[in-house]
Amino acid sequence: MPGIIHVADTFAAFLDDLQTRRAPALYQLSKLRNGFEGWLKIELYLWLTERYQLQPQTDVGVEYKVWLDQRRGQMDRETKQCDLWVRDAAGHGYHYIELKVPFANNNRGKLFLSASDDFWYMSRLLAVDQSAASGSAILVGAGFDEHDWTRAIDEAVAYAGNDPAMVQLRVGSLKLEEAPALQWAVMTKRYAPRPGT
Amino acid sequence: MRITIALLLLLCHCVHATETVNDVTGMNPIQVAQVLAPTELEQIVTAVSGHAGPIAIGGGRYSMGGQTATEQALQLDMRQFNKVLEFSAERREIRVQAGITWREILEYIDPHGLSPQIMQSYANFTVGGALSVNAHGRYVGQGPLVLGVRSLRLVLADGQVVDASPTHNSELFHGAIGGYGGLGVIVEATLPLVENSKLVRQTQLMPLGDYAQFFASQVVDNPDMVMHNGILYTDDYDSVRAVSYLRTDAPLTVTERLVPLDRDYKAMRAALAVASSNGGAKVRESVVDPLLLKRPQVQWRNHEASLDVRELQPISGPDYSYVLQEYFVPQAQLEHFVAGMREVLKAHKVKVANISIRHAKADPGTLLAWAREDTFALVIYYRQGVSPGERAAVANWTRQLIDLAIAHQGSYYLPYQIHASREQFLAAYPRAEAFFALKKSVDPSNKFRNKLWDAYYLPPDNRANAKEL
Repeated sequence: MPGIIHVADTFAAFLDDLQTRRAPALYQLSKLRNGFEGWLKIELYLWLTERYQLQPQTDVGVEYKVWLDQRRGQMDRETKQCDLWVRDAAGHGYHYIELKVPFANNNRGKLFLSASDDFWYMSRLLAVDQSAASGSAILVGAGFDEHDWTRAIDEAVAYAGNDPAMVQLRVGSLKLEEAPALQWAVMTKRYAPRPGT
Repeated sequence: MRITIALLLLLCHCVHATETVNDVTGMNPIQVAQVLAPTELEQIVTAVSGHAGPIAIGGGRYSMGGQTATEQALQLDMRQFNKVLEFSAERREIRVQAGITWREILEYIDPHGLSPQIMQSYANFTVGGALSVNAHGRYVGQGPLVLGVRSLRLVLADGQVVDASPTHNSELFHGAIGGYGGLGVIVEATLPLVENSKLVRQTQLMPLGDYAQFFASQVVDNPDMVMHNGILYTDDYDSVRAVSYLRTDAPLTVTERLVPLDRDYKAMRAALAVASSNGGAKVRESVVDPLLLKRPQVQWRNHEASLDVRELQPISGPDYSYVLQEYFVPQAQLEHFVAGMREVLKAHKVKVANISIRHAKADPGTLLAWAREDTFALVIYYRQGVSPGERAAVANWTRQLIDLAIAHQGSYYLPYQIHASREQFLAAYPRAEAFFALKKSVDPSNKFRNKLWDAYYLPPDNRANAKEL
């Protein structure tokens, strides 16, 4: 089945490829430190279609309203718009992905909070009714203190409160010449496959 | 364990002991041991794994030869197993339980401006039934339903629940679709959807000899052509009315989004009655169809997709039944096959009500594929008597038509009366032995049975005693 297996591994491969193909663009992004979430979404979407031979709107797509599990007492909304969805290659449904690009300015604390919320929601998808294989929040930043960045990611994962056995976390950075490194993190909550699969 | 099974069976909405079931023709009464109408997957799993005898699976009951039952079987009546499990307008995809009808799907997706990619001409059938016969419709550039299914979920003979798609458990996927319930119970399907567009109907009368060229030049590669069929007029079998449905922006002349459930079908039934009477074919060609098809019609795709089998009813009476047959021939063989078919039908004075010509793209690999290449389908709707003598006469000319189709590198369709010899079946379905091998591996005790497989599948321990039909 056309699709991906692991969101973090896929994203890491995407960044590697991006560094090869679009190094000047990454340099500009790092220097700007601002507002490249929309660009990243489309770039990743196009890369997925090409790399994995995925059919647009059938195997991969942008912007998707996911339904949230209302059994959680703190749930304050029924749905959430996520940035990307992509089919699972093992036939377990779809990976739903939210992208967040907190940039290093005075609001970064607020933006980390927002990223933390994103993973909290992506961890509470109504999984069976929308064939959720996983829910992920992907963060990309530039110019953050490495310690602050790592601590914020760890806090976001802890805040989501998932069974550690169902969580995958991967962090990394992309070294750039003459510009601050791009830092990234992929937080993924895996959902149990439907019985019988 | 036995107590659990008994309790679960009682939980099902309907459990009838020793019941006679039948199909839409009324010609195939079969006494089954029990009819079970599950509403939950667990009930199906428990019934399949716990029932020692044969199990048959029934959907809408529109097959015509006992494909949903066999004597003393537990018949699973899937019609209450009919929920929409998942729907994504963004992804244009719906996941449903197999007992849902296409009509129910249309009602669900129509408000979202979506339509099934492939379905058959009438919306009464269940999805599971349509998958089991690998149905087709009139959609141009499409073909067998297998081309419009993303994945399936099956319950196998040991109660195991498995998912299958073209790339995952693909042998099961390609065996279960068009497998007539021989491998397991299809319990779920994920279907792709497409845009529900406005369609304008156009018709054109032409000699049969021009039809294949017309189809090749005007229909198959026309990006606006959504549905198409030909009506073969049976007075002389030499003229065809091409009926095409093309995408349009023109204003609707039919504003209903779906065919109303209470539509009055008197005119259509009268037309069919005329067509199947002596000399009726000429009247239909020159009077009835020009009247019925005269006005330009603009409607929604879903409206044309939601036709109701009731337009053909009453299909059966005490001494007659209207019955379908279908033959498939490669595109180049159409005219030659029709000439031979004409001779057979005329020689046996068959009361043909309608012959529809359809087209199907080649099947991508089902084990019981009826379209092994791009194919024209000829759907014959005729009236027959039900006495033993009349049935025998039908069996006789049916076998002649099957031989004719095979001689033209073609095939015949399996959901209808089971008249073909085993030799004819194997000739028309050359991968049947691969299907049988798969059945043997996933259903070693031959649990999944019905009249079709009773006729053609020889379980290993019965092969030595097998008799040709």
